[in-house]
Amino acid sequence: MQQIANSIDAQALRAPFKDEFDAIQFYEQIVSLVPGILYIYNHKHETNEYSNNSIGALLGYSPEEVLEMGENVLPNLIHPDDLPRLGRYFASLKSLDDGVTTGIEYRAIASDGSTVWLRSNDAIFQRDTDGEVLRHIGVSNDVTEQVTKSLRLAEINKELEERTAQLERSNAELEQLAYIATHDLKVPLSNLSHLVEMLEEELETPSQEATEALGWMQGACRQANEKLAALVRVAEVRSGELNPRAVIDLASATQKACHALSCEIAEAGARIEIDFSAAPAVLFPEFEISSMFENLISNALRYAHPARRPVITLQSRKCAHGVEMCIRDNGRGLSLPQDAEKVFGLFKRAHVHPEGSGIALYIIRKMLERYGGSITVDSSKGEWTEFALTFTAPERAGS
Amino acid sequence: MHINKVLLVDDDDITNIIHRRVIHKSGLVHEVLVAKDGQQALDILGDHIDQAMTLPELILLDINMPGMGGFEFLEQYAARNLATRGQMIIVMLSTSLLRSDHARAEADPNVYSFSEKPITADGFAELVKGYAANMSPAAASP
Repeated sequence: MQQIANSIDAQALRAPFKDEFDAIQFYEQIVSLVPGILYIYNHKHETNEYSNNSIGALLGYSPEEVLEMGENVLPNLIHPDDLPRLGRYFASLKSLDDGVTTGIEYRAIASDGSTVWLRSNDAIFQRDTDGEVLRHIGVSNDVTEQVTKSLRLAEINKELEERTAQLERSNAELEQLAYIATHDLKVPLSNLSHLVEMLEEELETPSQEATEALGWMQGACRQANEKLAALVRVAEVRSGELNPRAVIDLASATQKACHALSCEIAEAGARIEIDFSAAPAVLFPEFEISSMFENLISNALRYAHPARRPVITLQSRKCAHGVEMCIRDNGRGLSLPQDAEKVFGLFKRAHVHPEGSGIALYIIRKMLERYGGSITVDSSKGEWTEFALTFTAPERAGS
Repeated sequence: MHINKVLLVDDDDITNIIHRRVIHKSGLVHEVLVAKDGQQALDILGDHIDQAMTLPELILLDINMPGMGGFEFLEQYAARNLATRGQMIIVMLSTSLLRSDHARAEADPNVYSFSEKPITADGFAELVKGYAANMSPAAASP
C-alpha cells in the first residue's frame, strides 16, 4: 500500500516535460492559474522583478491608475497603520534562512475604499555571491473573509468573557447578599423567639388567649428560622467547597439512613427492599450521601399511599455514565410532567399535604450535579414514584 | 460554683440585654462587662491587666461585628498571649448556620465551644458548669 502511494507521489513530482520549452509552458500556465499574486523581489534593486498579477488589479485599480501612483504605489495601496510593520517585515527577510517560509497579514485599500486583508508568504529565492539575499519569492492572497471571520470570532469571544466575568461578579454578590440577609435576619429573629419565652415566664397567670398568642408567636419564629436555615443550606450547596469523595457502599449508606428514620419506618409499617448486587458502590462524599438517602426515603414515607403499606425498593445497576441507583415507592405518585418542575424546584412542593421544606430534592439535584451526577423522576399518579440517581462509579475515580 | 466576671462581646444591643438578664437571673456571676466589638474587648482585657484586676473567666464572643469581628479578636488574643494571663474560656456565639464558620471556630485552640445565640438559662448554667470542670480545682477562682 505504502509502495503504491510512493510511486504516485514520485510520478506527480516528476513533471512530464519533453523539453525545456514544454517545461516553461507548464510553469507559465501554473502561474496564471494561481490565485493571488506571485512575485519575485530583488533586494539589490528594491523592485519587483516579476509578478503574475498586479496588486493594483487585485485591489480593483486600472493599470493607468497604478501607473499614476508611480513610486508611491505601496504607500497609496497599503493601510497607513500597517505600512511600518510591512517595512520591518521586508527588512527581516534579509536575514531569513534558506528553505524557511515566513508570512505576514496586512491591510490594503481597494479602489472602492474598502479594506482588503492580504496574506503574503515569502521564502529566499536566490543569494548573491557574498551570501546576501538577492531575490525572494512570494505569494500574496486575499484573506479578507478569513480574517474578518476570525476577528469577529475574537470579538464575540471577548464579549462572552466579559459577560461571564460580569455574571460571576453578580453571582458572588448575590451569595454575599444571601449570607448577610440570613445572618442579619437571624439575630433579631432568635432574639424575638427568646423574648417570647422570657415574656411567658414573666406572666404569672396568663389568660388562655395570651398563652395561645405566645405559642403562635413561637411557631412563627420557628417557621422563619427554618426558612432561613434552608436558605443558607441552599447557598452552601450551590457554592460551598466541594467535599472529598469516597467509595460509598450503597447498602451501608441505606442502612445508615434507615437507622436514622427507624421511628418513621416503624410507624408507617414500611418495608424497605434493597438490591445493590449489580453495582454495590459509588463515588461520593460520605456525609452528603447519607443525608441524601435519608431525604429520599423520608420523602417516600411522607407521600405514601393511605390505602397501602409503603414498600420502598432501592436498586443499583451499571450504566453508561457510571452507576444508576433507583429508589421506587408505591405511594401517591405525581402528575407528570406538570409536577416535574415543582419536584426539583426551589421552595416548591408538588403535594399540598403534608408539609415539607421544599428544598430537599432541589439540594439533592444540585449536590449530584456538582459531583458529576444527575437525578430524574418518573411516576404514575396514584401508583408509584421512582427517582433515578446517577453517580460516578468507583473505578472511574481518576476521570 | 460562681464565677466572677463575664465579658460579652457583641454589637447587638438586644442580644446583650437578653444575655445580661439570663446571666443576672442565673445568680452565678458577680459582674457582666460589655464590649461592642473585638477592639473594645481587647481594651477591656488590657485595662484589667494594667490595673492588675482579675480577668473575666468567661468571654461570650460574637462572630460578625462591625469593626473588629470575632475571628480577628481571636487572632489578637493569640498574638498577645492573653490565654496565659488568666483562667479564661471563650465561647463563640453566632447565629451563623454556615458549616464553615462552625469548623473555623472549632479549629481555634482558644475557643472552648460554639453556641447559638442567644444563650438560654439552661445553656448558660451548662457553660458555667463546663468552666468549673475545665479548670483544675487549684486554679479555679473562688
